[in-house]
Amino acid sequence: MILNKPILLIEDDLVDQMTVKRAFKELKVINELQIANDGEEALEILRDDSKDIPGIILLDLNMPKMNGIEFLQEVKKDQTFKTIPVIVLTTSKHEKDKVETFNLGVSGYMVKPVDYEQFLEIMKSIREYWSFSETV
Amino acid sequence: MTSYHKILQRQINKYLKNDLKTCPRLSEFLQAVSSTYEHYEKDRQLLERSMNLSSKELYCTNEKLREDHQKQKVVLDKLKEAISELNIEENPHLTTGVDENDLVAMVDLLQEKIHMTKEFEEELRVSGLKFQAIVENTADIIWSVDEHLRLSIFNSFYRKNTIAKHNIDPVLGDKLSNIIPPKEYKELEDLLKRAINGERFIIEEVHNKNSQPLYFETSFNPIRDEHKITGISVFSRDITFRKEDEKRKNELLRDLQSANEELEQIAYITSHDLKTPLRSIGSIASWIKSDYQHLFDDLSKEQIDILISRVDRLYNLIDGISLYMSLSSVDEEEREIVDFGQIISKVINTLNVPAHISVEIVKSLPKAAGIKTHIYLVFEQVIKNAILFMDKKQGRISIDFRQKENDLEFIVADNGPGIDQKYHQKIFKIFQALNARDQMETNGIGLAIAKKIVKMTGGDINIESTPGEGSTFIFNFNY
Repeated sequence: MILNKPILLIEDDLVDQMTVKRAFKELKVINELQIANDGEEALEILRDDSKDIPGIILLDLNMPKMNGIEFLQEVKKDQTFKTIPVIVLTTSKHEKDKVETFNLGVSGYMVKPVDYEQFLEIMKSIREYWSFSETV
Repeated sequence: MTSYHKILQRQINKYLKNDLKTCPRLSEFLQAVSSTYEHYEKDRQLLERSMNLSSKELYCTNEKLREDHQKQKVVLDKLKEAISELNIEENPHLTTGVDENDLVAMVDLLQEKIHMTKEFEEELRVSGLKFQAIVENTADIIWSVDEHLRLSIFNSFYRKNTIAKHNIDPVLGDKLSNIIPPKEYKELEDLLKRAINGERFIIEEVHNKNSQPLYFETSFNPIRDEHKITGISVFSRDITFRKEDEKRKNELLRDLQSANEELEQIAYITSHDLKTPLRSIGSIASWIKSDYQHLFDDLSKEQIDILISRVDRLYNLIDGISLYMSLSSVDEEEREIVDFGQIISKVINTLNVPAHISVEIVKSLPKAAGIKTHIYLVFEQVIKNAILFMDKKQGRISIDFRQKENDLEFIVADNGPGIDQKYHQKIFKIFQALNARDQMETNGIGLAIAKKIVKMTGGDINIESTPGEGSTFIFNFNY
């Protein structure tokens, strides 16, 4: 179960990070939230033995240094990390991005809504997912 | 003693008595008879001589006549031969009805034939001139060779070119090998041999490689006489201009392509980079609104609501522009058999149709070739438009299709406000919303997106409308 594992948020925008934090608070999510500003930072966190391996990854696509797609390509090469469910959380509605990320084995693709209330709804459904999903 | 004709004398001696022989009265008679004998004799001799003579002459004349006849026959035969040689088979009517032994008729025939030949020669001369005019009045280098690769025709361009290139003034009958330097000749000979073997082909040549290159397009054409190839005609055209145009066109196309790619990249990034801070503004505004609600008066509450709604509007606008810009040409790889019924159900489900509007699918929608995402977008924009502008208490939207020639034509009709005819073109243009933004939250891009897509496929979209009663959008894809 993911319930007590940390959640890794890979997101470069400060306010988007705040949005997730706020939603977690409102939804009373108690899991540890690991935050990486880009793909490279995220890989560092994953490879840091002192840190727990996350139960789920929330991934933005447009980021500096290493973007979401590049991060996915790295993660899916790694035997330990490739089984962690990844949910894409992005501004991009582009078909190309959807196809590419699903091909890289993501578990979900969420488009960030402009409205916070709608974002809350999305986070609720993601939490439902990890509350009931078994993990490897 | 009187002498008589010797025959008469013999008869007198034999039959006449001596007394009668000397009777003077009888002797007068006998004298007369004798002279008759003499005359007869003379006449006979004359006749004989003359008979003799004329038979000789006759023979000679006959001989001569026979000779003449023989000669005539030879002449006639030659005449016949001449006539038959003058392509009688082309004009068989000439000989019909003419007695082949009738010299006069034959000569007439010959004369007619000569006349015709003269006319034919004149025609030949004129068509030769015409041919020359064609060969000369062209920008092409034209020449031909016989099967021994000897020049049989060339125009002045060929001559000029040959003089310029090889410093040789060509003459009809010249062997190409005597005109062209061996190395170049080898290449040309290979090409000519291909043509001699019956192949007709076109090659591109570059002359003047070192400085200003000149491009030539040269065609090699076997000349057939009956079933035999008797030579090769060669047409060479300077296509330098065309080549340069092509090069320029390709460069422009490449520039355009990279500009397009760049634009797409910019659109993609801009969309993200514009939306992210905008979403921040919206989120923080809504947090302030909920966190500090107790500190707000009515005015500041209204202001923060307007702030949030403007963020929404801008967000939708960026989404629309980014979608509009991302619509690129039809990608053949994405073409598949599409279930229109399934797509439209999905559209209706995602659009959250208000309860007072019914959406009816008139008859079961077909399956056809197309690109799913495009078809989805068109129906989404058209139906969204109908929902958005619905002004009736009981809104009705119906979706139907009909077969029109090879295409399927879709009809989306509503009982909304309708659109005045003068705006029928305007509504499909980007940013051309007909209502004030604050009355109606639309980004003015939806129908432009629909039009861009159907146009991209080669189809079209049109509207029929009665103001107050409703609008009907008719469109087709042409994948």
